[in-house]
Amino acid sequence: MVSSKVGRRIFWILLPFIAIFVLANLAFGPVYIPVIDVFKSLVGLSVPSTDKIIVLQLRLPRILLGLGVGAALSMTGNSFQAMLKNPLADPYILGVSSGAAFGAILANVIAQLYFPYFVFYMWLFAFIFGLLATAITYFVSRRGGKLPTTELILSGVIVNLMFGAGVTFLIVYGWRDVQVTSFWLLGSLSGAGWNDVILVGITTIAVGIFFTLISKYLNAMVAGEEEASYLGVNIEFLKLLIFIVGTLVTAVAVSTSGIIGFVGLIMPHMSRRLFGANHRISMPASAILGGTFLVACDTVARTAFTPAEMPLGTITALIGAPIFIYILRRRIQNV
Amino acid sequence: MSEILRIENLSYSYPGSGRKALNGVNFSVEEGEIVGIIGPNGSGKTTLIKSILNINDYDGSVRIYGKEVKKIPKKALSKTIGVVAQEFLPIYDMKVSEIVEIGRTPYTNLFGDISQLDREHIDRAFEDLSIDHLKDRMFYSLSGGERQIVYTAKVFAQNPKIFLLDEATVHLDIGNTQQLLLKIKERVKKYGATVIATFHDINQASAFSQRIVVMKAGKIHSAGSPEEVLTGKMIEEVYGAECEVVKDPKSGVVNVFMNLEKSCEAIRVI
Repeated sequence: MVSSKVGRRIFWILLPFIAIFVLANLAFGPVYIPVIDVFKSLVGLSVPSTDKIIVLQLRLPRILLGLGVGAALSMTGNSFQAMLKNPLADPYILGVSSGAAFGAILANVIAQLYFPYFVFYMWLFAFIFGLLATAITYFVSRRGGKLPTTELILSGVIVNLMFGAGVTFLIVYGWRDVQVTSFWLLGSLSGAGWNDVILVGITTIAVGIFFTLISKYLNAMVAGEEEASYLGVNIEFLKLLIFIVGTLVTAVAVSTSGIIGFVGLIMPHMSRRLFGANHRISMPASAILGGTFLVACDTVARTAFTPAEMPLGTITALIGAPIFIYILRRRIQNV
Repeated sequence: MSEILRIENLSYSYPGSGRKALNGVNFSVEEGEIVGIIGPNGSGKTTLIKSILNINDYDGSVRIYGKEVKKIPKKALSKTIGVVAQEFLPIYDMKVSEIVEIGRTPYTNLFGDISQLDREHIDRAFEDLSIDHLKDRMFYSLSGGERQIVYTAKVFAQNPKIFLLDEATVHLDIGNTQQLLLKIKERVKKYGATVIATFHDINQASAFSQRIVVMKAGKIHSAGSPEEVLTGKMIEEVYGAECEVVKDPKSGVVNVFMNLEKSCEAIRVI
């Protein structure tokens, strides 16, 4: 790992490359749009109307949603890892995402079959069931005030299986259409609209500010809760806040783009590798890396197998699973 | 000297255990004093430290500068008391300077920015512990002894009035132990801090402390200067061990030597 001073430098060097990367993503897809036309569409100059629609109505919301969801999941993973003193903790591994997906679908099914106004409670249901999933994983894996890695992963697997089964049941019961499960269980940014972008954008910015403000406390927690309490950190209150905010973020992300695994696990890890472990730098860095990574995965998902589209979670899992194994192996060797 | 800490009728039982880990403990500490706490495993040393820090929900009274610890806000308490425990094990590797900066957490602004005053305390911690050369090293690349010194630097940067050392030297060799304890003594001399330290090693406690408090089964067995407290009778009563107690004529430090020549039957098990 590098120090935060070096990390800060790398961070500023990387920023323009990320802007170029986003621009390139607006250009490439089933239909190629020259970069100059992309730029013209963005600044409101005249371009063919189909190009403008593709850029502004299809690709831009999708990319912005990817940036927002990736950043939010990555920051949440980073804070969960510091809080639980476990580098394998993230909303997906802990089962929060599955719980949130179950809640979102439950609200949808109730709305479709019984009370149409329940569709407005989708975020709330996702949030409540996300909290429930987090609580189950947390209490099942807790041993004498600690969260051992093996117990944490096993509890997460059980919670994921439980809510995953619940998701499939609800979809078959509600819509009699198994195809929809792919969106929820493997995630997708297709169908991203400006409403989703606004919701995720506001949430990501708000939690970004929150995570920036708690970074110094996360640093204090790096050697455990007791050490942090010696520095005046109100541990129980901070943990509660992180769990609630993290679950809220996950609920919003899942409601707009389904369950996307591994982003919250591997991007904080990458960010610490590149920019050091100081949360004051690793938090914004994991937001940028998480957002960029998700957009890159989405580009592969939508372009590699045209005209078919690969579910986004498949791509993140293909990249994320080996990195997960690597971290797990290193952790077991260090025990 | 004024009284900095007063403990009255302090009791605590761990949840689910019927046994009292602390049972009616009374003692006080003067400002600038170095107090060593000794006692066998399970005698209540660490429980006492945790009660002073308000981590344990104790019965009785623990007052710092006359104010009940339970009523002192966490942040204010962390500016008064700094803790050096047995070891510091961060989940991620960090630069030594970043570890020491963490000590300023109670003082920094909302964003954790390091002010001029914070920088002065951090630099002073590096200087006082003579570890300037380690600043840019990564924490886990250091030896166990160096890590404990860096951990102590973090607590120096915290600038507390009371240092609580909870068996801080237990994993260190004699060289590192001497360096750590000497640096803490220097700190006391220079800035007038107060130290309360628990020890497993009676001889370390004897060499380091002005006053020793002996604990047994959650109670204070005896207290006084090392010479008054460290006697063969006390060691037999508290630890169930037969030892020779010898005073070094040169330094005046009392040392305890374990006697392995006696037969096993002579050793009373407590």
